[in-house]
Amino acid sequence: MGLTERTNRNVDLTYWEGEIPVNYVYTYGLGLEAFFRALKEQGKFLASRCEDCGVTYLPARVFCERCLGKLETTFAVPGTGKVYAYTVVHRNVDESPKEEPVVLALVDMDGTDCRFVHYLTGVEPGEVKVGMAVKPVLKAKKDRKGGIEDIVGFAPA
Amino acid sequence: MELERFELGATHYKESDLKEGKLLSLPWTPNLKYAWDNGVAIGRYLAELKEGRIIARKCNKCRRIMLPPRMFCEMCWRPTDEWVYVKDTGRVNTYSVCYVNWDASRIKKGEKPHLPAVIEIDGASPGMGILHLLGEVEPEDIKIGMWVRAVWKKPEEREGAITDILYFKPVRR
Amino acid sequence: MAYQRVAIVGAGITKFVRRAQETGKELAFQAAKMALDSCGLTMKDIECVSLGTAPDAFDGVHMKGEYLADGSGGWRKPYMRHFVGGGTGVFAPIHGWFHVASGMFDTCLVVCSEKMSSCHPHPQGAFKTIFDHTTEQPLNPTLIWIFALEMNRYMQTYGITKEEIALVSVKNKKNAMDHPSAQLPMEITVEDVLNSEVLAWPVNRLDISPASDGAAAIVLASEHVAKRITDKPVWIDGVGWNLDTAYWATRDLAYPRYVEKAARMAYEMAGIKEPQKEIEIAEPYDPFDYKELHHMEGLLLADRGKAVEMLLDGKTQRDGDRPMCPSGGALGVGNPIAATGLMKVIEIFLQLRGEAGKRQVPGNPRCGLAQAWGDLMQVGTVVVLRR
Ligand SMILES: [Zn+2]
Ligand SMILES: [Zn+2]
Repeated sequence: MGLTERTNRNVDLTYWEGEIPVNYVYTYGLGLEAFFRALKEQGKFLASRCEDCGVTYLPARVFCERCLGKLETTFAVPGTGKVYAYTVVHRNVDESPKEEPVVLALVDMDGTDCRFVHYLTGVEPGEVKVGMAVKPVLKAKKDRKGGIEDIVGFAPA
Repeated sequence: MELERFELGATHYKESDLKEGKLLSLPWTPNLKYAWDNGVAIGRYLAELKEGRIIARKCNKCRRIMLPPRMFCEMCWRPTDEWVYVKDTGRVNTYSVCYVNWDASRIKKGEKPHLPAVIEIDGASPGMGILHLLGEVEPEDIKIGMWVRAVWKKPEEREGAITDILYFKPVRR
Repeated sequence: MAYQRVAIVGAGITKFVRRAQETGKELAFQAAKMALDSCGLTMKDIECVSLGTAPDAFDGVHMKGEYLADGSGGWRKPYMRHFVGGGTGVFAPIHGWFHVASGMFDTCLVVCSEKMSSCHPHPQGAFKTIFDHTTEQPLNPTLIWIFALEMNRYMQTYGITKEEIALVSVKNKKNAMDHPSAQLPMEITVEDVLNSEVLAWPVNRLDISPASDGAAAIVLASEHVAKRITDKPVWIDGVGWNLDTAYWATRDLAYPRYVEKAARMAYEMAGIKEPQKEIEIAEPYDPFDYKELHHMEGLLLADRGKAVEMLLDGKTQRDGDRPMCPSGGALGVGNPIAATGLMKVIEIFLQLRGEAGKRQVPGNPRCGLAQAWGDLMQVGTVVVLRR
């Protein structure tokens, strides 16, 4: 009896279906608001720098995570970079096969101490090399909404 | 360090600022669907509800008859011992008259308020209340301590759920 | 017991607002930075970091502890998240206390951050998950049910009226007029409370604290370090926490025994024999107005059913004999869950240091208490502070 009692008959194994009915709207916050506005409106990549720690953050932030110092100014960096690591993705999130494989990469962003995770574009999976120089490909200005999808991907420079 | 001497953070915005594009924002509706195993105790509880009965579980150490049933006694920290059928009558421990839906929206005009209550079921140990609804009663006639009886769905409509009991209605004792 | 004595030496807080533009981590940063600045420390002086935050479903950020780490100063530090629902904010100093009292660390930055506005249009969908998914959620409950049911039982047991309870809301919202973080400071009357929209009788709109965004932080230090940082340390002399059964409908809804157990634990540690005499000022958790009275009784600051008499006699006013929620509480300052509890701790810290500004209570209190409550409506968390 009790905890040692076992249910061996499959018909007794029942479950209850339900959901957590939530819905979100995220604001970008002070740092990302400035970053994505500049990207949307000027096609610029805004960074911020902590002089005390010698660290340049991209996207721009309002605080330095190392010293909790306040970062009050931003400046543009080119948005170019070098492939730090990459993977060739053959499946979608639901595990269905992709029509064409896509290349996802970590890009060391020039002039910063940060990396972006994004797609590589305009390059065959077999031609990608670690260390390869890449540049950002942005959507046309009229199509940019202020979000990470405003960047189509990174293409060989 | 009076707080007044500091410039305090947090920048308030209005919901309309998002619609008007004054602030960037990103909507997301996650798909959080689950199938929770009922386990032994709640599985049996639901199966018995489908038959129009309420079943509890007894701990032979503290002698409590517990509702909803559970396979271990959280007080004695040991397995419980016996299944015990309890009645489908009980007393109102407390109640509310609720004018909002689960999502905080107001109930529709003309719709009767919801009447959630904690009901102590006869045959279970004193204080063993369950959350359910009251029905066939006007809000002003509800009293703490009043006797109630379960109103069940028709047998063919029951599905093995707490909602197989539609509500509890007052009975004279 | 052989542990280091622990003091609060600094504090920081943001405004509490319905919707903050800042992300949760930016709010955490603002409060944490202010706490460091308030005592002249930098992250170099901080040996470990403790973060308190409520369910991930509020912010819509899964693994929120990890997400909030950078804004909380957790970068390459021993960092740990704690969580006991609504009780989290007063568990925060307790969790920090573990770190320092154990002797393992001499300083700890304790941060609480909450951004409930991400949950649109209202966090009720997240609150719904408080109820059991099989035996309760199919009844379509709202969170307010639990409070309405508990309030009704409390009123019935002791013969307390809605008019009397509304005085708590009137008092706290007025107190909040002097709190620079306050979201809902207002001067209202008992009639205003009674005439506000009925949500779930006996609970009206003005009986309830709002949903909020905000953050708060404190700096803890061991005795020998604290004395180098400040000449006004406030000591954490007692900590207590306790959890009741998860079957909330089974509990005695008129009396929070788990709060009593948490309080007794803290009192024993602090050497408090007569709490009604020795606790001069308190911040009981007040997400709903009746809760302040309910909790005063659980904390043994009033006899059972008698907290309302202290309220009616004016004793719990800021200039009364036993001020309760001089900050303005969750009802007035706002309720960004975890940050609310820590706001209460900060209020007692400031009051004992004589630095509460316009909110300062008379009589130079030496000993105060903060308390919070939550989880599946079952946890009590208590700290006793002394100067
Ligand atoms: Zn830095
Ligand atoms: Zn037992």
